[in-house]
Amino acid sequence: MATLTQTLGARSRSAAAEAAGWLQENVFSSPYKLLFLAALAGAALAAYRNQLEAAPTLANLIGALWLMGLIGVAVGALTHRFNAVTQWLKDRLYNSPASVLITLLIGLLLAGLVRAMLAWAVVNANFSADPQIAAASEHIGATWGIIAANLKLFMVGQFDREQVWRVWASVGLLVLLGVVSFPVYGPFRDRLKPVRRIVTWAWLLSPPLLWLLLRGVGEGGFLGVVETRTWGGLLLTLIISVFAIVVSFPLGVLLALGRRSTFQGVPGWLTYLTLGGVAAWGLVTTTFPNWPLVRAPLEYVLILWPVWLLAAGAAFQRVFKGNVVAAFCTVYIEFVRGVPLITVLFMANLMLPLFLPPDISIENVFRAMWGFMFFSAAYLAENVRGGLQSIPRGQYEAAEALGLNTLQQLWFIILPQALRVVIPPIVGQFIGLFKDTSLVAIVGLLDLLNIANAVVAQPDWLGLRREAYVFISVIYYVGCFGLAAAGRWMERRLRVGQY
Amino acid sequence: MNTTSNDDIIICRDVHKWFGSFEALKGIGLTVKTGEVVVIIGPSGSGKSTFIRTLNRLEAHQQGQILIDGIELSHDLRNIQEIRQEVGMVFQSFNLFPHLTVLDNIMLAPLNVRRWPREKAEEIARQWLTRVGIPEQAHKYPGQLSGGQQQRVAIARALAMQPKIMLFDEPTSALDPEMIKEVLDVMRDLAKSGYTIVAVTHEMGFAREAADRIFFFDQGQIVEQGPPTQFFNDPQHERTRMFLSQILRH
Repeated sequence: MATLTQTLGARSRSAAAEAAGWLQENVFSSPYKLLFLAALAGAALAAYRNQLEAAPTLANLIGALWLMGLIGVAVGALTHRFNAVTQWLKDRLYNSPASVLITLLIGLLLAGLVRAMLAWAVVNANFSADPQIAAASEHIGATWGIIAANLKLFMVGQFDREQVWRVWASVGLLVLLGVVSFPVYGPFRDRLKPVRRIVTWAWLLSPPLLWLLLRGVGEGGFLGVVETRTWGGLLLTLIISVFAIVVSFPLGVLLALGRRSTFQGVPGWLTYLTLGGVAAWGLVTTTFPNWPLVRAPLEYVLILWPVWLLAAGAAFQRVFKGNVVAAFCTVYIEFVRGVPLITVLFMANLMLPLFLPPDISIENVFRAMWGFMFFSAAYLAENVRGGLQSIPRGQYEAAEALGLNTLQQLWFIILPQALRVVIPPIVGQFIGLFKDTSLVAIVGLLDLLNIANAVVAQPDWLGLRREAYVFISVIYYVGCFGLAAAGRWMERRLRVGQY
Repeated sequence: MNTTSNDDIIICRDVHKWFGSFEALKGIGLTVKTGEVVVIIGPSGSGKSTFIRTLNRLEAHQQGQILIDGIELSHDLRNIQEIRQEVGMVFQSFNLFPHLTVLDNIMLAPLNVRRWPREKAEEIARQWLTRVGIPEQAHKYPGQLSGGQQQRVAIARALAMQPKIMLFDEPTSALDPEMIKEVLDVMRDLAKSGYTIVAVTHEMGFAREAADRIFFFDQGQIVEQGPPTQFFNDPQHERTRMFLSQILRH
């Protein structure tokens, strides 16, 4: 009996000594640490008292949970015994004095945040779509009626309400194609080979088909024209971004290949002969006769164009060795990357009509689509070029030695490997593009974001920005998350990095 | 040396190659008969790899003449394409296509260059995989194989095109010692079955045993040539003797 008490006493004494040692090492070892911990403790206490005022039950609940965890971990530490739960808590949340306090602090902040959000979005919110009822109700939370009442506006903008079935038909078509694609390109790709060909063609034909369905042809009737300037909301956002993504991809790949191409160049003598001839003609016909009339510096620059032409020719020969394709692709890429997207959209909107005959007008939406597409292609080209550069020379040599021609080398060997490498940056770029579509406001189009701005300006729902922005944020998030998920799926399917 | 006869499948006359101002090949002339096994040895930088790579125009020669099976290698793309179908090549670093399975690696060119039906291509691919001793690896990816296995797949890939000539560019130099033998065994097997082979290698055992003729390159020129017994036992040139003493001593 005596021995037992002695053992227990010895044990508790050694435990106390251990705890004191631990405190000495982790708390009192330096004044800075002590100061830091004191500040953390102060912050946690302030958060607790703050939360206590707003929602005492929640504050006490969080506090109690935290205390229980702390006690569990402390007991575990003193007895040198952890079960699954206390081990997890010790590793993740309670592994040092600072992290113990930070756990409390973050727990309180998170709980407060979630509580406030729920209070605003659900508990104190009004869901009536009738503006009068919504205005009459005395709620302090969200007024979700603005979304319900304007849902169509958010989705399709001013799209003719009689014709909205065409949007549904388009969505249905795409969903159908998507659903069919899954087995055809996925698990049963070999057995469904004939079907696969049809589905591939359907995908390739779908853009013009959808355009026809949505925009229509002729006056009135079954598929009468729906003016594209009435398009808006999510519909417009999706049309512009999907078009830009799908079309810029092949164009970007071609630009990248073009920039790296090693075609036999135009020989130097031909370049200099041609440009020299043009320059001489220019000097004789424009520069010399007009020289006396020139006043401003800019005019001198302009009138000397034959000289600049020759300089450009020399640069072309020197940098590109006469390779016209590489020169074109490089200049295109560097030019587009050198101007802001807004400028491209402005150009498409203001400059393009100047260059076109007056009886041809291109609709705004169309211009924005192509503007985004050309812009995206330049960035994509550089991403793809990075991928192309990652392919070792031996791959080309092996393909050549087997007798594959250049196109086959690219198609079977180089592109599959290069594109696989650049999936992450390309997905990132497409996500950026998807969000950048709101810049179409510049050219007077109402995409999702700008529809939201228009909606909150309605007298019935004046100033309800938070509700509208939260709603479109969720939509944007779903879109971006979808793109990211698609990218991850492709990486898995193409087995990135696991040879 | 340049007397042409009907069974000369490779004819090189005065082949020159410059990299910038550096002359890598200084007038190489040699002929290889059908079924002959030729081994090229020489110190590094002697131009032996460059030379073997001019035979299927991975490097373009700038002067002289190369005739492969009666077709001259020139800038004409069709000729190059045609010759590459008849010349298989095995590289030091294997150069398998990492994104394709072993079987797809082997079948790629037969399907798309020879345009054989899939059944035929697969049958031949599997035959060659069996011949090089790894039929069970058909559906693995190159990254899952050992170096020796990868090189054997590369050999099978070249042979599946049923080429008339096989080029080996230091096929064992990137391999661990214990894997060299499995690759050399395959090469010996091919040499015995009558393939025309040009091999750049440092494997003197293989050269002595399998070669019909040995060429010694130094500084872009052929210094000495002859059958293995004469070459190893009674080298004529001081440079050859020095090289052999160095390579056989260690």
